[in-house]
Amino acid sequence: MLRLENVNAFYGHIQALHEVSLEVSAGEIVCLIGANGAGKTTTLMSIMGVVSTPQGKILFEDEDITGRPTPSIVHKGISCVPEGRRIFPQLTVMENLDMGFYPRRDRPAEFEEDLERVFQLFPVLKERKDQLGGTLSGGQQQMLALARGLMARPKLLLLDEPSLGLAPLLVEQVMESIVEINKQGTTVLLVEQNALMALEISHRGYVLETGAITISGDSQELMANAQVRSSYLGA
Amino acid sequence: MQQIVAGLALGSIYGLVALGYNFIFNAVGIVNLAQGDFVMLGGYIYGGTLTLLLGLPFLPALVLTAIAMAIFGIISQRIVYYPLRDAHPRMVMLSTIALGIFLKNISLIAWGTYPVSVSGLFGQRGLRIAGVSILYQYIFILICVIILLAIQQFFFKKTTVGKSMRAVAQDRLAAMLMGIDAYKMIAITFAYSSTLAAIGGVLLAPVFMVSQVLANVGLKGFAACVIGGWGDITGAVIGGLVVGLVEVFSASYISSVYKDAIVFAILIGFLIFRPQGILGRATEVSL
Repeated sequence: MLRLENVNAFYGHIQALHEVSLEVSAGEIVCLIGANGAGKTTTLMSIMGVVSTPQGKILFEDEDITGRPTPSIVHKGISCVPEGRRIFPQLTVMENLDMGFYPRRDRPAEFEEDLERVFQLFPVLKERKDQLGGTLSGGQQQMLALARGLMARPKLLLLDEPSLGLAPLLVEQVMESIVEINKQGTTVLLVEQNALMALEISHRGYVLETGAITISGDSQELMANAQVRSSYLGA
Repeated sequence: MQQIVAGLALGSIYGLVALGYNFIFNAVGIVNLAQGDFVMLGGYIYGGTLTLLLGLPFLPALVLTAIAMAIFGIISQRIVYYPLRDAHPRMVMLSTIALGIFLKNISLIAWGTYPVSVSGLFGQRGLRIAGVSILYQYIFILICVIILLAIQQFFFKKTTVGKSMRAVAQDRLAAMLMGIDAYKMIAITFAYSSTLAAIGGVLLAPVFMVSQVLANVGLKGFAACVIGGWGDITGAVIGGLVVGLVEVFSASYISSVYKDAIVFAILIGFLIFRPQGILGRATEVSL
C-alpha cells in the first residue's frame, strides 16, 4: 500500500533521513521504533509532504506522491495523527471531528455514521462533545486526535507517538483502540519510542537509528533480537 | 445621549477595523499595518469612484466596494505576505507598512488631494427626540455592524470554510494534516479582513470626508485591539466601542483638539499596565 524507496530528507543542510526504504501492506500494523531524534517524525512528515521535497520515491497504492502538497495526500487516503496530538484547542470536540471530516466534506450524509463509529470507540468523546478541545485531559486529547484522524476514513493511518506523556493505564487503552481500528480495516503505520508496546501490537517493525533503517522484520522476531532487546527493550 | 450613540457608532467602526487586524493576526501572526489604508481605499472606491463618478446608488456601491476590496485583499496577501511566509513576522509587517505608503500615494494620484465628500443615504438628517438630535447615519452604522457581526458569528461557527479558517489560525500544521489548504484559507482571511475595512470605509465616508486622513482610523483600530486584547474577537469589538466612546466624550467634555491624544494616552496606559488588554490572555510574542 505504502512504499518508501531510498528516501533522503533534509532540514537546511542537515540530512535527517538516509536512504530510508520501508513498506506497509494493506491490513497491517507496522511500527517504526527508534530513539529520540532518529528521524521517525521526519519519516512521517516526508510521507505527508510537510518536509519540503524529500529525495527518493514515496509510493501510495503504486502512485508516486513524493513532494505532493499535503492536502492532496490527505485526500488520497492517508491521515496523520501528529506528535503531541495537536488538536484544535479553541474548537469544540465536535468541531475538531468536523475538521477531521474535511477531506470528505462533499459527502455530508456519511458524517453521522462516522461520528457514531468514533463515539463507539471512544465513548468519552460523546460525553464531552461540546467541550473545547483544549480543556480535555491528555488521554482524552489523544483519543480525540485518533478519532479526528479516523473521521477522514483513511486507508492508511500514520500515528506519531500516541503513547507520549500518557499514564501506563491510558497507554494500554490507546494501544487497544489502535488494534481495534486496525481490525475494522484501517492500515496503520505506528511510530513509537515505547518499543515494547509498539512491537506487541504490530505485525512487523523497522528500527530507525540516526536517520537510517538498521533492523527490520516481524515484530515477534524483533522482540527476540538481541540488539533490539538491549537497545530498546531494556533487557 | 447624542454622544453615546455617536461614540458607539464610531466605536463599532473601530471595532470592524480591529477585527480586520485580529483575523490576520490570528491566521498568520502578523499585524497588517496597512489596515487603515484599506479603510481609506474602501472609502475612495465607494465615495470617489462608484458614487461620485459613476453615480451608483448606495447598495450596489457598497456591494461592489466590498467585492473589489476582497479581491484586493487576496492580491495584497499574495504580494505582501505569501513570498515572505517563512520569514520573520517583522519582515511581513515592514512590507505591510510599505503597502500602506503605496496606497496613500496611489490614492493621491487616483483621487487627488481634495477630500471627497459623500452624503450617504441620510445626509445630515437626524432623529429628534426630547430635544436631542441623533444622526440617522449613526443609527444606520450601528444596525449595519450588528447585522455584520451576526453574519460573521454564523460564518465562523456553522460553515466548513469558517471553521477551517479557525482551525488554520489555531494550528496550521494540524489543519494541513486534515487536508485543509492552509494558504487558501489565509487568502480568504485577508479577503475577509479587507472586506471589513471596506465596509468601515463606506459607513464612515458620510461622517468624515474621504481623504488620506481616513487611514488614521487604522491607528484607532490598533488601539482597540490593544485595549480589547490582541487576537480576541469579542475584545476587538469591546475595544472599538471603548475607543469610540472615549473619543466622543473627550471631544465634548475635555477638548476636541486633544481627543486623539487622549485615546492614545489610554492606549499607552494599557500597553504599560495591561498589555494583554481587557479580555486577552497574557502571552509572549517576540517581534
